Amino acid sequence: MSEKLSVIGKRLPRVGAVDLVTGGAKFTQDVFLPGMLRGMILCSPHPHANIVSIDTRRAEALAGVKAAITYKDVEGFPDAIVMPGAEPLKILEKTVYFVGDYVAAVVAETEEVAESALDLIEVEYELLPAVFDATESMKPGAPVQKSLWPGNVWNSKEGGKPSFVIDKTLLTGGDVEEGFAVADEIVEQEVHTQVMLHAPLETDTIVVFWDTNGVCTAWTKENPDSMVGWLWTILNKVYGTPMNKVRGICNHAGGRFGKHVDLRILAMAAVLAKKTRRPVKFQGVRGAEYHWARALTHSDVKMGGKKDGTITAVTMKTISNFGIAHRYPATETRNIGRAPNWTWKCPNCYYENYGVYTNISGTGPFRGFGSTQAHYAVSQACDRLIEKLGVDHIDFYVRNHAGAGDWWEQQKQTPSGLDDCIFKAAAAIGWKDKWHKPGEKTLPDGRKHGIGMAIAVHSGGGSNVPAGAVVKVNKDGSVQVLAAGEDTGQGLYTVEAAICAEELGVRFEDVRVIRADTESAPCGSFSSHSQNTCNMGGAVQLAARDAKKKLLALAARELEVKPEELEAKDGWIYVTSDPTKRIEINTVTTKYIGSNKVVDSEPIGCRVDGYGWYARWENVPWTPEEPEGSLVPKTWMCHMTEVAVDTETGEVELLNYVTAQDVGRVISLNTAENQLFGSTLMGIGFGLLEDFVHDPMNGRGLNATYLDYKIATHLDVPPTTAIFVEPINPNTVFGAKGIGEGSLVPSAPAIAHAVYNAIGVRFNSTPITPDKVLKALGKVR
Amino acid sequence: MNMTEKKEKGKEATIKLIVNGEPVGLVVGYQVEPWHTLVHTLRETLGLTGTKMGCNLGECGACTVIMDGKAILSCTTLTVECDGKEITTIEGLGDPIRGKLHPLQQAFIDHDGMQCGFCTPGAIMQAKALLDRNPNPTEQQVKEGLSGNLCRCGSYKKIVESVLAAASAMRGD
Repeated sequence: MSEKLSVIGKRLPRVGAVDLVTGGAKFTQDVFLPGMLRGMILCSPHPHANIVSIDTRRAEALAGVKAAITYKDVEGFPDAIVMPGAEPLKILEKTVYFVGDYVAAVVAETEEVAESALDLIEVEYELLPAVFDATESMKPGAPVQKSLWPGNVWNSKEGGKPSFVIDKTLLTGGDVEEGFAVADEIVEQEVHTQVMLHAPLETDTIVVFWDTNGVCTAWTKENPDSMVGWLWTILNKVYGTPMNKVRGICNHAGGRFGKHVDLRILAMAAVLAKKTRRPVKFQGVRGAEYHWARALTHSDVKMGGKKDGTITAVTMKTISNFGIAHRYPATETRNIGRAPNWTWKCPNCYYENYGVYTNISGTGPFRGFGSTQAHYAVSQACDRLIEKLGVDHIDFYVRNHAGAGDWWEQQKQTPSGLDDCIFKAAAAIGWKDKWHKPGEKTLPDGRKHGIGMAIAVHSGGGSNVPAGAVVKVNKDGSVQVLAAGEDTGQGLYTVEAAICAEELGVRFEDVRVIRADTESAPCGSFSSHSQNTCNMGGAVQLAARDAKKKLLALAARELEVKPEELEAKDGWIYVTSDPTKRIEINTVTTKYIGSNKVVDSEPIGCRVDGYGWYARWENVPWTPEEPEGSLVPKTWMCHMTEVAVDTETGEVELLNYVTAQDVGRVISLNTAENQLFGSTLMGIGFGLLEDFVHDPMNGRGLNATYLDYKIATHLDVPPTTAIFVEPINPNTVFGAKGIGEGSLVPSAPAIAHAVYNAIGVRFNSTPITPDKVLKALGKVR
Repeated sequence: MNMTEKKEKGKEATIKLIVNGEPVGLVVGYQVEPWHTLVHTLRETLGLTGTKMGCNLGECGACTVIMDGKAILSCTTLTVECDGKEITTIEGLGDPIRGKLHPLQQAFIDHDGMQCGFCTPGAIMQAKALLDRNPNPTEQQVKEGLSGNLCRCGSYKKIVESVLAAASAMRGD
């Protein structure tokens, strides 16, 4: 099949690249409208308090201030809910729950005036008891966070009951106790992962404007359809606004990595824009951009295995610190449970999670959602078990990982490309020659050498979020794709253009993707779960197929053959059995599209636009007849790295890095490579650099600026080899999988194991910073 | 800068800049306030939104522009301190309307030296200043030269490839 493809898998210029390199790209930050007001938010200085009184009169009297909003203005408004099951949040509330919680907002002619006005708002608080540590918050008598869950544990009506359980033995008929009883060796340890910030370069920015027809337009970094849906639930209840009068635009988005729009700010902006009849812009402030981060976890993981290297049982208990709310608690707790359960062939697995509310800032989805914390914990168990059993790393993983026919939740898995990932990565790094016993190798410069590996699995795209697309074919043969999935940098539009060109048979450069706007495109799917290559790509493929059918019917008239005898490629339509018999696509479109001519007493004018609607229903139960029919593909990864550890400074340098991922099929090579490198590097940041700290005294987030929260720079990038493994997936668009998140997951454990191999010390917590290394070596207290 | 003196004479203080080759005059107290940063003036007063504001703290490099041949952070530079300076922003490179791109811009497209692209204008301006003073940098020199330009998408590998390719093209290799 691949030799027939003209566009898919090639090095294609990124859609939007010219805008980005010339400064012409309009990010939400770059939206400036006539008369636009600027908003600023007053945040709580206390971790838990009731607002006894609040007075904005002095602030509103300041020259240039146009309006203020407090909880009193939004009483009776619907909650700001983005996901069923998530903790409902009020837009503004009489109680504040963490340092940084929203108290009031002001809009003014300039940001400076708005900021000054915040100081003039008079608030009297009644302090309430607060708790910051998840374990403390679970104890009887801890201050109650939310009335919905009296024990502070999500989805747990009674104290002590977990939020979520996966008991794999219910499906496999296995027995965890028996699994441990037959094990030759058992390993057990606690693992801790830190809070990680998305820290996209563009801060969260929202611009809202109501026009004279009552249409509310919002520019955000969010998927415009999701955003419209959320905002509409509020606007409809409050102002009676119908959905066709809420418009969402996501033009260019300066990175997101799982961070979604803050619906509370969006709602405040909409209310204030309505009140002032002016456009309103809220631009996020670096340093206060730490909401909805990756949840901190504590896991107790236990794994047993036989002497031949077979895992016999896995259990994990995880406590996640959700902070004041979690945007997608069900997904987080489920995804964490996938690492100890569905990753392995072993039938004897059990997991439970406690998602605990505390008085720190809220948590939510993040690239490698849940899997990142979970695989770090499970991988620690694997590496210890491998050592205790004295087996080979590669044999261990190949023997134990799940694959086609093994359970994945209620379904059976599709084929996995992990074995190839492992073998190719091992060959690329020279695993067999380079592995040594821990602490055995010292480099000529005195540093200790180590090598480590880890595997992981993550959602590989496609979900039960339906997606629509329109492919519009013009008279000159050029094409527009109207599809409201948002490109946040992952390269979605390049992927959509490639899929459209390949399917329709036009040249890549003849396709233009219109940036996401609910006014021009059918309902789209949001960029999350690594789903949009499959979801939006699937919709674009079906739309292109629909247009092509119409196009071939017209070409058939010209070539005097049946449409089924035709194929389109690279801008030409040709007879399959005799490719010399052909016609250029734009000859067909020029003649027929919008023509007012009559041929043989028949008007020939027409349009050849196509419409596509794609939906994959993740939760359709598995049946023996349809073992893979409804299953969302999973992407598998293997990372290997060599490190040098300086035992004097504690510094860990990555000498060499191999990142291999099962991607189904590469659609656009440039953007796929960038996703693989970028995701891997973010995982390296999780493993070595990034650590968001909350003050233990009041739960205040301490280090949200780039100076204090270290993300990787040019100087932190190791020499990296990227390997794509392409087991073409039968169920998705051109066999692709979503790849953007997976390679974040195995980076940190691969590094931890390499550090262990270098200095013989295990790190049960991320990130592995020089101070921790020196402490572990006994060089500092 | 002798604003006080000018005011004493009863004249308005005007900040004169040359931005992308065009002279610009900004009246203090009207178009520019003493607390306005250069990134604010460029984006909000002059409408040159190609220069991005990532942190407003001098930490991320997204606001990098070239002033008198040197790459500077426009978020930590006050506009009133720029009187008489010549400033080049991303809009001043190449001529995109007529389809003419600077070799750096072309190389970033050819080598996909970006993902979300928010850091791209700053990275390109930093790279331009680097290549202007060192037309033949090593890979390590590029990495060090651009180490203050953060890219959260992690496109660093392709950014370095882009800069090295542009350097080669500009030397006429």
